[in-house]
Formats: sequence, C-alpha cells, structure tokens
Amino acid sequence: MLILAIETTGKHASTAVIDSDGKYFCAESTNEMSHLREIIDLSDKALSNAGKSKKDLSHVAVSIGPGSFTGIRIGIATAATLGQMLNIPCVGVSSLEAMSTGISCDERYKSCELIVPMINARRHQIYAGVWQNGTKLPLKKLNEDRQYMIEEMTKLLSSEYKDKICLTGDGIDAYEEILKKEPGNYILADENIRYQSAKNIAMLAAIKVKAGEEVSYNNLTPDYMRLTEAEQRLREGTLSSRIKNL
Amino acid sequence: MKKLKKRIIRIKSEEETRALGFLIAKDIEAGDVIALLGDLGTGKTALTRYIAKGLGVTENINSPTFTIVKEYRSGRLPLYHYDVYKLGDGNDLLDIGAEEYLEGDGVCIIEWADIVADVLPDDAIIIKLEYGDKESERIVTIERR
Repeated sequence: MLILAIETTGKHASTAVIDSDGKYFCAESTNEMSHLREIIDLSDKALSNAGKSKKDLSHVAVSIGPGSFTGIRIGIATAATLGQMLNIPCVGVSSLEAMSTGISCDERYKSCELIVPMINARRHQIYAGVWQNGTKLPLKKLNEDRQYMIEEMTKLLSSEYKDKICLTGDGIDAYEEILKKEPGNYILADENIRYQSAKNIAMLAAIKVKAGEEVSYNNLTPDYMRLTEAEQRLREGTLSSRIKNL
Repeated sequence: MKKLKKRIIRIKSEEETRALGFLIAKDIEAGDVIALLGDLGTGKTALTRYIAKGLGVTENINSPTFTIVKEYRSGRLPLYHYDVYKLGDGNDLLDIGAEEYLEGDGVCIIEWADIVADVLPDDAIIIKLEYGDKESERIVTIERR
C-alpha cells in the first residue's frame, strides 16, 4: 500500500505519502493560495521524499472539503486525474474530520474531551463539527458537521458540552474576538497544527482503504458544505434591503 | 450596529468623477467591497477606472463583462474588478470562487452588484450612480457603515 494524499482546501497546499509501514513523507507549500501552480510538484516531492514514483502508488486520497471552493476543485480534479491516469482507486476524506484526527494524535491536547474544527466560511459562518477525542480512529462524531453561524456554535458548545474542548482551524483566527467574548472551556490549537494538512488526510485515507471505502476516480465528489440556494435566500442579507431602501 | 453614513453627491463632469474616484481610493482598505449600482452608461466603469488610478493601478481598466472578474496588482492594494451583469444570482458568483476575494487582501469593486447582493458582505459600501438633469450630470449616492 502506498497512498498519495492531497490537501488543498486551506491556505497552504500540502501532500503526503503514507506507506504500508505507516511512515509519512510530506511536502507543503510556503505560498498562500498557489495550489494550482504547485500541487503536481508537491506530489512529486512527497513521492521522492519516500523514494518512490507515481507508478508505485496504490491509491490517491484527497481532502474533499469543506474549505476553499477553488482549492477543493483543484484537489479533486488533481486526484481524479491521477486516479484515472494511473488506474488506481481514489479516497475522499473530510477536511474537518482530518483536522480533528490530527489534534487527537497530539499529546498536547490529550486532556480535551472534544475537538471542534472550524473553517472560516466568512460573514460569521464556519464549517464545523464536534468530534470526541480519543486514540481509536476514526473518531466518533458527536454533532453534525455543517455550516454554522459562529454564535450558534459557541452557544451550542456552552449549552450542550461541559467538557474541555480543543478548537482548531482558521475559524479561530477569523472569529477570535467573538470567541473571547463567549468564554468557554476552550483550548485553542497551536498554530503549528491548526490548519489543514495532507498528513491527516493520509492517516484517515489509510484507515478508509482498510475499511474498503475507496471509490473510482469518477465517483470522487466534493463536499462544499454550502447552504442550499433556498436556505441562503431565506436569510437574504441586510445588503439587499440596504439597496432596496437606498 | 454602527450608524449608516449616507451621502448624495452631484458630479457634473469627467473631472469630478476623477476627483471622486481618487477620494474613494484614498479611503478604502483591504477587505472592502464596493457594490456599484447604476444603469448602462451611468459611468460605473469610468468611476472604477479612477478608483483604480487613485490606488496606483497602472494597467488599463476595461469592463470584465465576459471574464466576470479581473485582478490588478500594481496599486496600493490588490483590486478585484467584477462585472456580474451576465450572472443569474449570488450563487453564480460563489460558483466562480469569488468568496475568497470578498474578505481577502484587496478591494473588490462589483458592477451590477444588485444581482449578487444576497452573497455580498452586509457591510459593503454601496455606490449608486443615476442620471442627473443634464447629460453630463450624475447623482452619486454613497452609503457605508
């Protein structure tokens, strides 16, 4: 087994290769939002770090979102192309679940009962979910992962969960002020582990492959996790009314 | 909620459009979104051109009617100039990945913003251009929070 994992849903693109011994070989871009330009080079880099080439791959895994829309599409398109070209199966992994998994493997957050990854979806919105921390993977999901208002999530966390919570993801950076105002039993994940990373995608992909959760390249589907148009219209913003009243 | 600041200005010439564009350019910051409204020929692109110039953009500004968006990076701030006339609604705007620009490192100017208003930030700066009494006259309504 040799899996190449691609993560392009965050600011920095990254790739990772995991072999059958569970060893990781990673590569990450230092540039922001340059996924399209760099993803193939980064894939080659992770493979060469592992001393392997594309033809040695058994699977290609990708973060299917949520996260940057353009990033999700670049990742899926790249993974599907590699899958088709090399005639190997693909594995789709949730960016949020992968972020939770990354935290669960870090000693620093062992005391947290819950892990809540939150990806900034702008305008007070986040893509988020609630996972139970533990050593057994995959982690147990306690609350539906979807689009939330940040205030809705802080309210949910303070009313439903009394345990110590590790927050992670770039939603922390975007809504730091709101999180400060709503003090909860939080620990904020350190910046060196806060963001999407292909290593976590690789880790979950290896588990999924063992469970037989692989798909053919043409069944790899993105999960933008966006509200449907109807829902969006319902909360039609104040800008529309400002324009009408002008 | 901060009080809305509304201003109505009459501009009578290209020279005054230029002055207004430069004034706006001085005042905007990274992350600002300008929702530009107004019928055909009211001067949305002309105003955008002067805002761009005021930002120090050196390239020529054309209306991106067919490309939907154009990026200019030669000024004080990155400028993302949209013309969403051909889009159906806000979801079309999200589908082209615009969301990442809207609270990004630069300024977004969006022509025909009323079409996509449902996905624009609530605190966007609204600039409406209307014909005045005389041919060269325009009434500019600016509303910001």
